[in-house]
Amino acid sequence: MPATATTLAEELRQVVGERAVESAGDGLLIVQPRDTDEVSLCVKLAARHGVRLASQPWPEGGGRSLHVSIARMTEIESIDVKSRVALVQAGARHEALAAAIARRCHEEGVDYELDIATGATHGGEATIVGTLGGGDGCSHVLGVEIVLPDGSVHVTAAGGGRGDGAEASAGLYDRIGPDVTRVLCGGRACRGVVTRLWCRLSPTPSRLRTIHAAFPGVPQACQAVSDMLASGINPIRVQVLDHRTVSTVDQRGPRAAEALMVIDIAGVHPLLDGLLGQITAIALENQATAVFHDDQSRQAGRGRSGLSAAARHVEFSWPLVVVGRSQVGQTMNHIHRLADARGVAATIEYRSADHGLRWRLIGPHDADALQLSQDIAARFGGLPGDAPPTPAQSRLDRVLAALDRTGAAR
Amino acid sequence: MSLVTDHRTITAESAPAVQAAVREAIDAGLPLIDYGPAHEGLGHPPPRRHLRLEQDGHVIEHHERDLTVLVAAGARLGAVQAALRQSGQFLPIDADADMTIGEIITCNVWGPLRVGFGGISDLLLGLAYVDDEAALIRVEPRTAQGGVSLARLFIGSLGELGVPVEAMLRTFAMPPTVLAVDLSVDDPAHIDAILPRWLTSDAQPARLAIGIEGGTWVARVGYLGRQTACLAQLRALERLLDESTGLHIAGTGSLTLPQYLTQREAHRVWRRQLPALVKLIVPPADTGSVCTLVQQWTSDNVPLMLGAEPAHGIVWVGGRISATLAAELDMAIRRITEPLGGIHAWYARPGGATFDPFWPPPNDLALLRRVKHAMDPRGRFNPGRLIPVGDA
Repeated sequence: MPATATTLAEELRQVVGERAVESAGDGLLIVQPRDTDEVSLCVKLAARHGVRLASQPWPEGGGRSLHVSIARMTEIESIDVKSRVALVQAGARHEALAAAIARRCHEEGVDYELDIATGATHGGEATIVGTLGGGDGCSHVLGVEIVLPDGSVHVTAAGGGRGDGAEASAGLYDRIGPDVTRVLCGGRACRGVVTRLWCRLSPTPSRLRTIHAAFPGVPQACQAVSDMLASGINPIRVQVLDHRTVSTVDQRGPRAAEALMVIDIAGVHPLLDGLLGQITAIALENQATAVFHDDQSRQAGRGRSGLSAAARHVEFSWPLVVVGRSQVGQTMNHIHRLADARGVAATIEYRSADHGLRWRLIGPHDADALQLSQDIAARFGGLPGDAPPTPAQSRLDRVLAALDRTGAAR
Repeated sequence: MSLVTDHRTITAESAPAVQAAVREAIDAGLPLIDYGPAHEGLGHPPPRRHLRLEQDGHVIEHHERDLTVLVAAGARLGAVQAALRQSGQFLPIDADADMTIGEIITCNVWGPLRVGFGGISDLLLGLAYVDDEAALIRVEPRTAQGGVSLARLFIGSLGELGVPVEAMLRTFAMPPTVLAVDLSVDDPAHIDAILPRWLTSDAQPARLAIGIEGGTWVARVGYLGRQTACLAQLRALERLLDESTGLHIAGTGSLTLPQYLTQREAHRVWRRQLPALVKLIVPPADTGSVCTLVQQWTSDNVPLMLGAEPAHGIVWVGGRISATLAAELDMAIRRITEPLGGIHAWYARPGGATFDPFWPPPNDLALLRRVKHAMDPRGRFNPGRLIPVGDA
């Protein structure tokens, strides 16, 4: 190990303790601080030693590096259901936060949840910062605390502390000025370390139904999606699962289904009854072999968590592509055809909230899956690094570079 | 606020015209200023010498089946709504008809409809803007490529990062009816108490605002949708109120959406007319109690207009007051909001006012300076309006 890295390791141990620093080989050190102050000190030490920050806990090549792990930063600091905001350390698990929110809501007699895109939670195992993902994956976050590569600590959540000094921000629902959180989080995020998050709590739909419809094939399921959206129905989300996914993921689904359409709708009772009838009719018109539904939100939640659990096996996943509603069914079918040609299981989800399509490929970690990801990317958006950046991406990179640059903390 | 300036106004009706305006500003070595007609008083005043930009425009493409619309940033909201209405659609934005789409984006304009439809950040799918080198930059709808969207950075940017010229927005089908419900409110703090349950019940409104009318507090609730669904929500509201105190249904009425939006615009017209207007942003759970405290201050000093959006912690306060009294109000607001972690921004300050238009400064001001420097290194666009001029 190079002499500089050895010295850095010793200094890091003085900050975080003997057992919270380890060497992962090839000049990579992994450090596990407990709070923001320790993260800041570690990052400043790395900067002083000329050691770059590594985003992953494995050697990425190119000399000495430091990975700041948030594994010990798991505290759920506060949950305020009245103002609908939770403050957590970045390493808190989604499952733990969801349980804590449910407990607090039970005490208060209300029903809120963390509104995170299906799949982002990886069956509850994801850290809260890990749910940020790409696309609009940070829409459930009101703001973050971040340590930039120069060790400076910044809070993007609006508002001052509430008097006890523990909270750096009240986590308000409005702000003055642009929201830098949207740049700091997401697919092309900067190299800083997010340490705390102010998460928005959303009302759990008081009436939510999940409708399952089995089809003899993906084309029929996708046509049903097209017809449904064309009729003006606005579901929370729609998923189309191919037969490979159905057999591995949704144990409750019809065994003979070649494709499954899963729809979440929410609203008040009279509206839901009408919608249910409309969706059933559309499914049957498109040769659905079975249609059934859950009319309790808890049952529907279990259905979704079953799908989310399967996300742990996902090898390739891209968060979002936006298409017009009129092209949703057709695009779903196109991606499914690409996946089927390569023998990879696929789940595609459409969310009305952002007109976004997300897809998950469940399959072997092999060349076929990689090629498929490239096929899809070539058709719908391109892979980072492969294509020349667009002018907008160049501008975004310029912003990220400005945030990344090392300079005096302000 | 009246701005004493030495400027010329350029009117641009297209993206190339905006590019030409930016080039002219570059050649003249002058900043290009566009605060928007409804937000002239928001932020620090522009440099005395500048070029002023005004945009005009219209709907460029309406994708009816996709429920999206591409509009010029200079299009007025009223004109856009009228165009969408032909297809039975609308934009769920609480803004005045004369406001441009660009102004709505850069000033992050939203209102009580956010309860049911979200804010402008939920509606904005893509954006085109002119940068500091007069280049036209198209930020496509969020794709697999980038993950984050540069478009959202323009929301609330106060025009400091570039000039939006086009926006792709989500549209919604017009509801068949709007059921307007007025509640008499004994004490706005009662709203704080009931809101957490209200928002998770069948009675969840699509629109909610409170204000003082004739000396008493009134909550204006809107349910948008089919008649049967609206009535079911009204029944749910009645059940909720039976279990609560201090809130009573004062009246109900069915309207068409255009009638409803026009009526709501009339209710907030005072915000455009008064020489002093300040927006308080507080934790939602404290909205009602903040209203009460501000009301106490006004009863001790001078009558003021008050309105609030309790679901998102917004309180508006306005009046015909002097700069001296406005400064006293500013200090009173600091005393009320600081213990709660609240912030406030003056949207209009009486002539002669010297207090800061924003308090406290944004937590991430250091980051905003870096972003400003990256997007507009020469300070061409609305320099100093929010982000202090200087090195990043």
